[in-house]
Amino acid sequence: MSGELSKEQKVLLALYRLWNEGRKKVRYEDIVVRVFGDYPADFHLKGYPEFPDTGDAVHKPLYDYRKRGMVSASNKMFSLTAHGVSEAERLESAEKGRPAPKESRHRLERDAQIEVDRVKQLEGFKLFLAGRNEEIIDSDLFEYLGVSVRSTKNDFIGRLETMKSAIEAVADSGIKDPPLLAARNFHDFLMIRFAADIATKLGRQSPTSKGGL
Amino acid sequence: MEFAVSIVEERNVIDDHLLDIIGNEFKFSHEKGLPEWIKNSVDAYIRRDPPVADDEQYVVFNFRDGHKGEAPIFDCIDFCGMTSQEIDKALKRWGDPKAASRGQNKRVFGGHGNGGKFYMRQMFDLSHFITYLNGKLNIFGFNEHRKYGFARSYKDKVCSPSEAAKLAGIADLSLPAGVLERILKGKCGFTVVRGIQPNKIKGVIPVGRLCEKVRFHPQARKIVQRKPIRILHNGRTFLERLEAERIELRPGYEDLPPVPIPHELPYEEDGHVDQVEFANKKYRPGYLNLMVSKEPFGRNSRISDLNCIDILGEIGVIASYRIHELPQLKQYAQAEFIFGECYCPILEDPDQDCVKNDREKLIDGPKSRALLRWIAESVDEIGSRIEKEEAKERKLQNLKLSDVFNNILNTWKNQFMDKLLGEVLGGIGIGATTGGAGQNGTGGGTAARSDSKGGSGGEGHAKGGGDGDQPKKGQRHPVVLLSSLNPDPFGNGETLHLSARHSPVYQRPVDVEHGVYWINTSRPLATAILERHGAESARWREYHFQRFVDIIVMEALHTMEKKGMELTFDMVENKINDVIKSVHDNALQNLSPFLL
Repeated sequence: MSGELSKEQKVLLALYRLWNEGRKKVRYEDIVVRVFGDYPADFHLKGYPEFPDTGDAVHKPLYDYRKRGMVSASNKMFSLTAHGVSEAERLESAEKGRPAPKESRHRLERDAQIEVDRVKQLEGFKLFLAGRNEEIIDSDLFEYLGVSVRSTKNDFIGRLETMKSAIEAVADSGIKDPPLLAARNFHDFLMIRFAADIATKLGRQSPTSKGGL
Repeated sequence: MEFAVSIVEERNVIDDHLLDIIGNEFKFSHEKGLPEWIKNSVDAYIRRDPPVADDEQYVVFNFRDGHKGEAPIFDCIDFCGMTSQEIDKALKRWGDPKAASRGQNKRVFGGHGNGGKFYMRQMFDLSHFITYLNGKLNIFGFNEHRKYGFARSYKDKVCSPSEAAKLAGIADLSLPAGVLERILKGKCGFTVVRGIQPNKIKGVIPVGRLCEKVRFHPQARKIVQRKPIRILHNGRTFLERLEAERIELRPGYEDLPPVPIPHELPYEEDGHVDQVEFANKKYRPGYLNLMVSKEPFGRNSRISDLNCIDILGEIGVIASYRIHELPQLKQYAQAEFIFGECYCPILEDPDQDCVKNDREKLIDGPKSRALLRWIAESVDEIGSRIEKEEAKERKLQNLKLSDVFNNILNTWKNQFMDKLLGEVLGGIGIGATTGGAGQNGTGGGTAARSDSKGGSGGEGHAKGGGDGDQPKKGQRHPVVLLSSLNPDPFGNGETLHLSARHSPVYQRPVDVEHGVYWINTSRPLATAILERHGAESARWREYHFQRFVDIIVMEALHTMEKKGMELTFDMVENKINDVIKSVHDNALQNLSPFLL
């Protein structure tokens, strides 16, 4: 990757820098100010280079990153997920002209590792490993994704993307660790078994979404 | 000096009085005696070569009432017949266990060769056999002095079949189709066991009552099931066929498949486990047929004797165990519904004979114990299934009772929830994020939240729209339903069944959209409380009420989030405490009659 980042990536980097200062939840306004301070040419108000753009130039990237599972948002307070931190670190290296840390095969990216470690502790996953698939319920899907049934559509999409990304990382790593491979199978199992619930959460209402037993 | 004594053996000399002594000990009643005659008749068929099929082993009873000086008479008729040699060698002998089999290597129902004869001797003033076979008629019986012998001029009396049938009084009876023709053509003989002036009966014979008792008698009921026994009263058909008790089967258990007996069964003794063979080249594998009655047999009911497992050999019942006699049975209560039969031919293997002469129980040993233990396990399996169904049924009944309280709680919640949330959360009620509606508003948007534009219309008091009972999107008050009872508003009218793994309060995505909560009645604690204390107990109501508290707290938290309140731990803890305090205070005021 060249040193030049897209405007969207610069917004994520601004959030990362604030996050790095120890602010786990960052107000929207602070991001606006930070990204304007770091990249004034890209984020000034049109016709007023001395004033920051508070509109879609910052807003939209944040919510796009949310859908990709890198940013979480609530009431205009933003924070980075592990996946987002990992991506931001990669962007920062690229911006500084350093080659992005290349993940060697046989080792998982840190954010993927965090997700996989979490999955290994899930009761649903343990049932899956024991072959007791019939006992796995819709609540296990939500627990797997790290959301609740009340999570918003965008949060749901974001976590879904995060888990897909983590599972792809498992596949790309070439690691033959049985629990990791089982985690991939568990993901596929949940996606098929609860396709109707997923469709409902994604706004694609499915009449077959019945829940329960 | 001692001198050596050597006894010269002689035959025992027994006074007939001994027969009275033994006979009196039998304490016969007719319902106990008649099965003895039935067994003797069936044994006569069993001794036949070639064998006679079960459904052709006809036994006919003819009960003749006494009137105008004539004594009542019991006749038991089979269509085999005996020779005088058989009478001499077998029938005359008392207490000979080989008498019934006549020395043949065949399994017969007769035990020690006493029952039928003692019944004749002790329970009638006069009694005799009229038997015809191979063109010869013999009459042998007991006189008024209870002495037995052949009737004068009726030992090996040569006569035609028709003369014999007429003399025996069976020529004009309503016999099974084709039987009389076979006699007349000399293809078979017959035996009439006749008892004249039965004890305790004068005039009209209570045929119906006698039949009822006989068909339940342990020594007769299996024969009654399998053999065609016809009952005549004064020569006319009273019962075409004496039927065994018909047990109405429990719904869902009408067609239980036979359970094959494994080729080997474990037998454990003193910690050592042996494998006991239950099939080999000579003896095919057996099976267990279990049946489940709709009603429990009970311990002392009219039909409690049927609550048993009959062990079948090649010929018939070789032992019978009341269900509660099975070793290490666990499902005692449910076993009172179960009965059946176990066909196991290897038990009759002469090398390891498990069959007792009296055919009541198997000879105790590893083989019989292993089999009985396995039967007990099979009964327990069915018992467990019944137990689960009973628990399900009890739960349904409990939930129906809970539904009333659930409606009360729903109404109670709706009456104060807006006010409570408004007060506790700072004066802004539900649906107030950027608009929403008041009490009589027109309802907010359908999306509860908007992520990118700072919220949308909240949850309004949407009236109108939607069909039937389906909850409406954005309705203000959550609807609380009971799983496994209330119909699923988004299903096809059936309820929603949850697993024990689902949370105590459950929602699907569609429930969230429509403000529906389910109380999971399958949670182990819920199930245990309902099982032990019932739906009308204070414990269950407390549990039920606490789930409403959970729901109200959850609603409060979601409202806080929608309002953009900062959800720090301290804030959440304080607000939860506030909500619970208010809910409890309100419950004390309005729900005391139900909770206290």
